[in-house]
Order: sequence, then structure tokens, then C-alpha cells
Amino acid sequence: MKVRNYFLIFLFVVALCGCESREFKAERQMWRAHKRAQAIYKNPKGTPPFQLAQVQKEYQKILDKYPKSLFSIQAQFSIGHLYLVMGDFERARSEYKKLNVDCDKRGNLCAEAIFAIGQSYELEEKWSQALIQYKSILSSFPFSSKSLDLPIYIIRHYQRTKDAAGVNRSCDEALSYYASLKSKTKAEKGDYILDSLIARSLIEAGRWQEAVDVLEKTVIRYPNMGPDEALMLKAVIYKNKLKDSAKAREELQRILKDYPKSKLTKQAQAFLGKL
Amino acid sequence: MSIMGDKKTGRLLGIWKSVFGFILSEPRILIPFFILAACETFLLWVLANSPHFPFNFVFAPPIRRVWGPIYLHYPYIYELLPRIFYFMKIVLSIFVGSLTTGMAIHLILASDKNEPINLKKTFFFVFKKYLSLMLLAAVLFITVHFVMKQPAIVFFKYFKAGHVKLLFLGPKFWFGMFLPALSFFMAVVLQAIFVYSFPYVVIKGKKFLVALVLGVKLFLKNWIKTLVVVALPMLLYIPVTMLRNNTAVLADKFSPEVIVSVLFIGILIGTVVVDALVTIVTTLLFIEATEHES
Repeated sequence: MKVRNYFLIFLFVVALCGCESREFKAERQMWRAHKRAQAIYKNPKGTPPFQLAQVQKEYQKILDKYPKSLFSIQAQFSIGHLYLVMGDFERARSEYKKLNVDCDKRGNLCAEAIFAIGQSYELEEKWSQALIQYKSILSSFPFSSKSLDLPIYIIRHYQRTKDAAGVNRSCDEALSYYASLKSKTKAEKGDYILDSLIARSLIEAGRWQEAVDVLEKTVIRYPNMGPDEALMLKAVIYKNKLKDSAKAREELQRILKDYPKSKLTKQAQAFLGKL
Repeated sequence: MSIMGDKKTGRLLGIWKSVFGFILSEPRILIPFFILAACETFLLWVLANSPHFPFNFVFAPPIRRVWGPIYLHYPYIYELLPRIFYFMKIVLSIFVGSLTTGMAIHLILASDKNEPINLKKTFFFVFKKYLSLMLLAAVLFITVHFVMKQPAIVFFKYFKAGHVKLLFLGPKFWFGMFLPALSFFMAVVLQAIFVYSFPYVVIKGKKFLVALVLGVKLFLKNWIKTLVVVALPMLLYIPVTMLRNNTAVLADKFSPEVIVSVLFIGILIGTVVVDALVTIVTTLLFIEATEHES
């Protein structure tokens, strides 16, 4: 083969290298749009309208170019977020509602969109309307990653606003919600996660005695799911919240005796020394 | 031609004056370095395109397995690029760099003897010694790779063990100031130790092991002079090292593609300037030091 032929093959390979995948091009466009959006997130009040329009245009290009991809969903979310940080809540909600997602197949994304709408209400200090959105996530997408944390998020809101009745009510709702999910799961890990969430809800609500009871149940029921961590948590609650150092010592000694290979043994020994 | 110019041996300025005069009188001795730089640039371009067709057939599976699939996406591929380019450059330096260095040494010798320069003849002459040159390059690069890593590992282990200070100074000093200086010094020493072994193969026709031993001996005999002449061109690489250590900041400020530009600047300065100057000056020193040997 002549040198010329080798050269032509080389040129052909070089020409092929312009073949960036659509996905890669979209990723680059998305990175550039996010980069421009960062400046707005940092200083939303000082952002001139033309700058916002420029970034929106970048996202709109992605929406037009890759309409049925995850990039378009991400771009649509980002447009909504931009209005949210600028304080235009109504426009933000209308952008979130434009999200074109098949909720049967992508429940997590739909839950995220509804959560974003809820947040826009929260930022506007319309908690009751935000709560309607959050509850719709709990009922429509019970096993989405968002819905598992939402009951605790709601408890925290009432804690922040120092609404004791609200804390108790939302905690009870969380407990019954997680219990209802437990009835639908069959896997041991699923049960363990839900029991842990029940314990967390009680801790968030400050119902310490109930929390240690639930933690004790998880130690007995799920011996393969890190019971040493539950025992450590119990010890902390006994010491700091229930002011019962004897019970705290008991829990720490259980870690050392029953789980001598646990990563928490050193911590447990140090804690014991302080009691 | 005497590298020491007016026989006032050891005068740094005299040495460099001779070297630059030598390059100006016969610029074709730089051709092997440009060939190597072209190969490195091609390699860089291929690696930068590793997520794309047709290179993804070769590069995507190992990248996916070793570093994870995220590194085939924008902008993470550019984050990984300096690392894969470093490893691939070692391979290229062993297989191609050894040959171009040998060619450069042969061209310098021919030019020094005022003989006509013939690239084709030089290539075939050096190609006969390819195995020895390749083995020498492999020893040099593998030694550099493993030895250069050690201080960072030792300091990392020391401070990870819970020590807050070493000789009254914290990790900021050791990692931020001492380690870069030590790395530079180690790079100079390692380069200097092996630098005369290549001319022993090309000029004196010695085999790999003999050339390695004789090269180290010659270095020990002229260690101060050698360290100084190797260190000076390598100082030019410090700005590139600084740029490379700050690629994350540059990528964030401009765009991730800037990493490719930084690596390309590294090729230009590292291969075309630093390697060329080190090879020319040490080959001329070698010729002078061994002209009376059989």
C-alpha cells in the first residue's frame, strides 16, 4: 500500500472523530448552561433580566434539541429553579408543571417535580398549599425516594415553627404512613428501612422513650442490619435526653459484649469512660 | 566542537552559548523531538476523543472498568485525561521516545563531526540499537514513576496516622512546599543518573547493561556539572507543572477543554524544549568526556 493510501485512512479516522455522540454534546451544553446559571444562584437579586434570559435561552435550546431525553427534564427543572431563586414563584410553578414525564415509568422524577412545586409554596410562606403538594407525593408515589423522607421533612417544619401540636400530629401521620408501607413490603431490608424511619420520626418529634423502644425492636428483629448502630443511638438518647446513665452504660456494654468486631467498639469504650 | 567554548571549563554561560549556537547552526537536530511531540499530540487527541467513535471501542471498556462509566461523560473525561495521558505517555516514551532520543544523539554526533545529516540513515542506524534503547527508556521511566511516588506516600501515611506536625511543621508545608521541591530535585537526579547511558548505546555501541553501568559511572564522575545542566532546562517545566496542578481551577474558570490545552503546552515545553536541551547538552558533554575512550 502506498503512503498516500495510509494518509487517506488517517484522514478518514480524523474525520470520524468529529462523531461526538448526541449525549456528549448535550452534556456539554448542559454543563455550560449550569455554569451560567450558577452566577444567578449566587446573586439572584443582583441578576439583570437579560442575564436570566440568556441562561433560559441556553436551557431552552437543550429542550428543543433533545426533547425526549433526561437532559430536557433537567433543563426544564433548571428553568423552574431559576424563577424560584429570583422569587417569581408563580412562573416557577408553571415551569415545573411543563415537565413532560411519564409518571408511571418515572415516579421519582414526578415526585421531584411536585416537591419543587411544594417548595415554591413554602418559600412563598404558603405552608398549607405546600403540604397539599407533599401529601400528594405520599399518596401517589409512596415508594419514591422523595416520599420516604417527606414525613420527617414535615415533622421538621413543625419543629422549626415551634408548633408542638403540629409535631405530634405529623409524627403520628408519619408512623401510620410507614406502617402502611410496611404492610406492602416483603423484603427484610425494606422492613428494616421503614422501622429505622419510624425511629427517626420519633427522634425528630422528641418522643424519646418510644424511639428507644423501636430501636430495641430493630436490634432484636434485624440482627444482620447493623444492630450496634441502633444500640449506640439508644445509649446517646439515654444519656443526653432521658438522663439515664445506667441504661446508657448497659447499651454500650452490649455493643462491647455482643459485637466485639464492631467499628463502634472504640467509640463505645470512650463513651463508657465518660459516663 | 568544544562545548566548553573558550576552555574555561564549567562556565555555565559558555555551555549554553555553545548549545544554542549548535542548534542554530544545525536546527535539523531538533527533528526527532518534533516527531516525538507530534506523536504525543496525536496520542493526546486520541485520548481526548476516547468516549467517541471509533476510539471508544478501544478506550471505553478499560476506562469504564478502572475508573467508572462516569469518566466517559462530559466533563469528567477531561478530569481523567491528565492521568491516562501520563500513563500512555510513559508507554509512548518507551517505544517511540527511546528511538527519537537515539536519533537525536546520532544527529548531534554527526553535526559535531561536521558530517552530513541524513535522517533516513540515522533512523536505520539507531533502529539496530532499538532494543537496548527501549530497555534503557523502560528502566528510566519505571524508576521515575515508582520513586517519584514514594515521598508523597510516606508523608500521606505519616499524617494519616494522626500526626499533626513533622519537625514543627504541619502538612501544609510538607505537601505544599517541600514535596514539589523534592519532586523537582528527584526528577533532576533520576534524569541525570541515566542520561549518559543513551549516548553509550548510540555513540559507543554498548549493549543495554554495559551502557547502563557506564552511564551511571560517568554521571558519578561529573555529577555536579551534570546535575546543573539537567536542572536548568527542567526549571522551564515548573510553570507547566503549576498549570497542571491547577487544572481543576482552570477548568472551572474557563471550560474543561482547557485541560487539553494545558497538556499540549506540556508537550511543547517538555519534549521540544526541555528534552531537546537536556539531550543536546548532555550528549555534547558525553562526546567531550569520552573522546579519548576507545
